[in-house]
Amino acid sequence: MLNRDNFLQKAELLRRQKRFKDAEQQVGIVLQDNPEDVDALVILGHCKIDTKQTDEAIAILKQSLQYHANNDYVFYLIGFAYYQNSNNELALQFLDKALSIFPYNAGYFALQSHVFLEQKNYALALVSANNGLAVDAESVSCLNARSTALFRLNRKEEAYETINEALELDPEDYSTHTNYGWHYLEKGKYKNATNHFKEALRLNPNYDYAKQGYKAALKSRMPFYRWILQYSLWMGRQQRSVRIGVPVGLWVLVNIISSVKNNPFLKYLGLSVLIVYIFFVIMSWLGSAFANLYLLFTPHGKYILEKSERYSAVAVGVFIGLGILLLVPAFTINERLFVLAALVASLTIPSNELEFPIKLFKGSVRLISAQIMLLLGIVTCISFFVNIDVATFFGVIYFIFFVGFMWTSSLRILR
Amino acid sequence: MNEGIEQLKEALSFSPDNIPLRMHLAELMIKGYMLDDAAEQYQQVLNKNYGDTKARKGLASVYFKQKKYSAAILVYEALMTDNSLNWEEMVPFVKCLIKEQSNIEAVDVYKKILQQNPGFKDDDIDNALRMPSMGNLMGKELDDDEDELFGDNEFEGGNLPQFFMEKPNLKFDDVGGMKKVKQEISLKIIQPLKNPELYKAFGKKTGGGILLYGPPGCGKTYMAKATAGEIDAKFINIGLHDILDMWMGNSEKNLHEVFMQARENAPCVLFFDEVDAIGGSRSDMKGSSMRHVINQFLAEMDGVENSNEGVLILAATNAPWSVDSAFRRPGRFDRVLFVAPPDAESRVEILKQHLKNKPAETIDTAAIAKVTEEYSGADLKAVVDIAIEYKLEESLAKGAIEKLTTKDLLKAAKQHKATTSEWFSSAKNYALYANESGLYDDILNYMKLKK
Repeated sequence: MLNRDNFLQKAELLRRQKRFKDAEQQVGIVLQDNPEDVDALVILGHCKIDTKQTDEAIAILKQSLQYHANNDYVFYLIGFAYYQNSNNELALQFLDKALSIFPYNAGYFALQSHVFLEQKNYALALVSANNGLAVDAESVSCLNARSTALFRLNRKEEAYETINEALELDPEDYSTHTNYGWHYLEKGKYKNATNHFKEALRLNPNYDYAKQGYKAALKSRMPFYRWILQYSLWMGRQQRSVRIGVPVGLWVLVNIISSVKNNPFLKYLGLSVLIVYIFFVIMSWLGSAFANLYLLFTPHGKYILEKSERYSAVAVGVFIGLGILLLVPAFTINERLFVLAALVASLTIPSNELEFPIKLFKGSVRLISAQIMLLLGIVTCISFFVNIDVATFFGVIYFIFFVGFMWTSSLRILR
Repeated sequence: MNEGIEQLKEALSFSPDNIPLRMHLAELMIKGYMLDDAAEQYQQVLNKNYGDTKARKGLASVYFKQKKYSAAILVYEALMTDNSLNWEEMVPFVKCLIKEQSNIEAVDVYKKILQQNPGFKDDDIDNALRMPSMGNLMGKELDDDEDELFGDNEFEGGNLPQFFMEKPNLKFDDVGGMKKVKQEISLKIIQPLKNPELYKAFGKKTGGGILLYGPPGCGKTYMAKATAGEIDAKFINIGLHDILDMWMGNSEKNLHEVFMQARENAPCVLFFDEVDAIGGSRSDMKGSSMRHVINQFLAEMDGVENSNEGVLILAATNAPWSVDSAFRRPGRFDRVLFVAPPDAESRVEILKQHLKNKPAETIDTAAIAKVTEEYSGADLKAVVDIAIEYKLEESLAKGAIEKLTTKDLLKAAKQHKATTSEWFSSAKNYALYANESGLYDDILNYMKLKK
């Protein structure tokens, strides 16, 4: 005879204490006795979700539905697992089922709202959040979802009201603080954002979303990064057509303006627009790496960067520095060195893409082509001093790679 | 019965691959006390179907019956790691361990049996593993006579929960490294016991406990045991499952009994492993009956009703951030010590310990220690185990004992990464972002992070 309830109670306790292995062991004892024990399967599935093994979680939870088909909580958990897998369609399907069985759980509505937010379907997200709040007016996660939806729908006053209400209900809720922080980042108010992220991290130091936010907030002290961040956050909120339309439109516009030659005023305007545009493009490529380089010299910043980010930042810094240094002999000794300076500076682009520690010729196609470009670039630089024909040969190959690399990644962003 | 066996043997000679048939034969043989034959049959099953759980269980039980305890333990251990033993099958395992004098392991397994079947009772096992606490707990004056403590069990048992108690022979010198931790424990716990007048003269209040924290497998429990050994005290180890049991059902009472048992057996080190399971911080588990257990624990620790004189309270946790801050107030766990992974010097010692009595060439332990930064004691053991596995394979293939080399160990170290790194990546965040009181400064220092 097995004291089943005792084990399951223990397992659930252990799961909440984040001792997933121990919890799974307790569940295992029950499942050994009865492999079809629904409650045990649900706890096991929940453990798998908590440990980010979403595929296993989905399989286990679906299995439990075979023995107990009307378990709303299981439908909710499966929905959550799909949401974590970024499979929003299926997440919504399962949430619908959960809500059709039991429409009185604010948590179900909150998740539904978050899925809609993810799909940029802000009106529906608002409806879900409101439904959830009708069930439980104090649901902090519903309030958070609601405020995000309202911000997106540009109903600022209500949005602020909602998020402040969430903070009042639970001033120690890290997700509310994180939410607030990201909102401030969108506005460019990086100081306020920093404070909220700091608080969120104090409450839950391992919350990755807050950590990313904190990092971005620290980097936002650099104005160029702040603008680029605001731009990319704004793009992230837009529908696909806008995301494609804006950069293409910008490019066409710049081309038209800078092609005007006969009017001196327009000519200078065109030139300055072109310079701003080029600055913008370079920053959208390298702004993050430059800001990381800056963070390396700040006391808080250097610990928040991942190892790979640190190395990329240093690599980018080294190539830019070398490029600038080369300008000196280029001006004084040999004008041909301008080409070299430009080449060295352009190596920042592939080096920004590298992952550290470097695994030669392993990884994605982009990673490998970045490595090839770096090698080509360095070979070109060396042969520049040895044999100019060889240098030209390698330089041309490098240039072809470079253009291809830029184009494919632009296309990738648009997609 | 013999006839049946003969028939089965004959049947098997026609279909030697019929595993169920062979298993059946083996079972019959056990019943007929033909143990050698039964073992042979199980071996054959395992030859054909390596890892067959049933056959392994059968083989282990045969070994047990043959009194080949160490062989049985090997099989049982493997089964245990696969989680495929139920409590009934664990009973012979415990008995084997007792016979082989591995009482510590035996207690672990016995606890698992009790976990699955709380009503289980076996006099032989109890006699071997449980140290009877003295007589009636209600107020009787006790003398510290060791003979009586270890004497015959006059205690009727049954109505009182008994926690496993032992008297460790470990001393501080047996624990490599950890100088700072030892020093703090000595100052806080051992010296007050040895020189009570001195502490009185300075008006320094004694009492309170020490909370050890750090990555798993770095010797927190070992350290606690050595503390008990150092002052020649008894040692009660309250593990995760004991704690959880307290959470459920008549928890407060159990908790009280633990403290009472410790008080009755003073001097006694009361060690709570994974104490965060009791003192889980409030935000982790809102409301619920758990508050109750925490309060009870704190009251017992403060010695509100009964004095805790001679009871030293140590606790360990991997997650100090989950421990309710009420636990850290003065008079409670007011010393919080970081138990770091062993340093290079200690790693050499640990490696030597694990390599003792193993067929090995002279091994450059320093070289291995060099590449095993941040490895826990448990990790180092795993490295040695992996290297031994390589050599076993080689030796089996060659038919002669191949000695362990430095190279094998280096290779094993490459294969087994430090399990502490996960802990550190989480701890780093706490140390950087949730360290207002400077509680985790030791982590910052260890990881060479400066704010």
